[in-house]
Amino acid sequence: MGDTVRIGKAKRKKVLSEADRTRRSKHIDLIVTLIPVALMAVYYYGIRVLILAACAIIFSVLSDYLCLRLCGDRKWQSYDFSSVISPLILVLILPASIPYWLAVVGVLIATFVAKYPFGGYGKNIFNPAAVAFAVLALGWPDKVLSYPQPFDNLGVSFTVGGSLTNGVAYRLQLGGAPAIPVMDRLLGNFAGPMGATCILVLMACGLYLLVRRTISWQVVTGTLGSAAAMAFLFPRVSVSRVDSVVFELIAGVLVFGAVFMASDPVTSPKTGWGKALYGVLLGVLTMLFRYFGKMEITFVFALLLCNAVAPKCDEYMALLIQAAKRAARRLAKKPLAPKTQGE
Amino acid sequence: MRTFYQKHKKTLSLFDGFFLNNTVLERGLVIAPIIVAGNTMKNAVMLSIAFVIITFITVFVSSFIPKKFPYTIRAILHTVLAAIVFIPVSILLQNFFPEAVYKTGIFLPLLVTNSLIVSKSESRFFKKTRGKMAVDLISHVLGFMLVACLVGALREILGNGTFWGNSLGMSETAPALMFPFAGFIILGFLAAALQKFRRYLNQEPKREPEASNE
Repeated sequence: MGDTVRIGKAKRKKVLSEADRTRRSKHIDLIVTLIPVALMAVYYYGIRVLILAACAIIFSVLSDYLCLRLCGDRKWQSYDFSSVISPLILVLILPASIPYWLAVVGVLIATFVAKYPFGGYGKNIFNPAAVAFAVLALGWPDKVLSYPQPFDNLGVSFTVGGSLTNGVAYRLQLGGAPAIPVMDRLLGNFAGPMGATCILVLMACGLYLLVRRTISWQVVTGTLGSAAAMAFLFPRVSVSRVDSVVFELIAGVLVFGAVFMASDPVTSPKTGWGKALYGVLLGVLTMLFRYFGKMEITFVFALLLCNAVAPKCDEYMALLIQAAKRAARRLAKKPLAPKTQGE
Repeated sequence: MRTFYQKHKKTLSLFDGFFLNNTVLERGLVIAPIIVAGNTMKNAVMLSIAFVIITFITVFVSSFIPKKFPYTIRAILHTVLAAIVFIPVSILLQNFFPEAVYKTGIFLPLLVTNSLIVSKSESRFFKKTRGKMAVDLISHVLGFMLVACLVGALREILGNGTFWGNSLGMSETAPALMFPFAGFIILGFLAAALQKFRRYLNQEPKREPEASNE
């Protein structure tokens, strides 16, 4: 009897299904790409970023374990690194001046509100980092939507003194174009969420994840393409249309969110066409919220709405494609004009 | 506690409406006023008083309406009676809680059409004798009061750093708790805790293994 149990345990330890192995490799890819983004944030804002990330990850792992025990499980799935990825994503879309306790509150919200009430990893409807950021932004807008300048000496104390400023998104909302040199726009040398400003690094990470098929190109191109198109057609500020597109893309967390949050395989659609619709919807909603809303960071709210309708994107695109195929078959079967007598 | 509950389950079920079969946490009824308007203790107490008076009087008096009338007519009569009771209740509350009445907006008059009056009266209360109905009704309305006051107190203390409008001198607060979404989340957690407790009470106690005779 004891041998059977041991053999059974040994088999369970060794065998990972193909799907689980794919999931694990995707999670590792995400962590690998989040590291350079975090390092850029450390370069601009100092060691405080590392402490924030460490606090967030530790509390995320502890709260995950507590929830697992409450659900009757004792072990993590070996492919599940979400308790490291979600807090890292959350911290990187927050300002570097955020108090440590607020980052921890965000992580606890992500775990206890967005993840486990729906059944844990793989069953959550909403992106946990997006939910946590939305709650923090609504509850503490003065702390979450004010940013230090890069290379400011923030120190490692619990709260940050010194002056904080508004981000690019706020200035665009007021109708003013921020005066940021071109290279600084690409390298992230301006006030904003600590991991969401360095566009060059984000694009490189995005390319790596696309090549590795960790994220879906339909979601990324749909989101960024539709947002860029709207910024080109309806600029908010009186600058050239190209500048308008650049400012809208670097504002807020649009590029970071499109790469790391929108393509979450759990909360995004499953089919290719569904993902394309989802991406376009996400980009359009983000821009509409920017034009008509009061919050400056609109991507996360658009993402939460899109998460809610993600299954419908698959359904409606499938119906649309079926209808298009039927129409094409009918057109193909249409009889030719009848021949006249004598021909 | 579990043994005591299982032994006296039949007697305790008369008072189920207060806790184990709580109107808000177990049945999910009348949650809108608590979530939207019940974000301070004052609002919560005011809503609770209104709910207790309107619901108890309406359901009790409605129990005398003959069953001869069709259900549709009876439901309309229940609501009309509740609206009549609402008038003196709102005047009374206006005297004691003038600001709170204004802050709760539409959610105070909405208590006139709450589910206990419109549907539960027919499906639950009227099936009992008047005495048991009165006890059940009181349990239900007090159960609503318990949840409303608990949620209101939590949200005001942690969200505003005040209690009954008096500052508690807290350095950090969580203003997000004053929003309706936080009310949903708090109610959800309270409902989950209640479910856990109910399962614990209804579980069979573990029996000690019998000693083997060797």
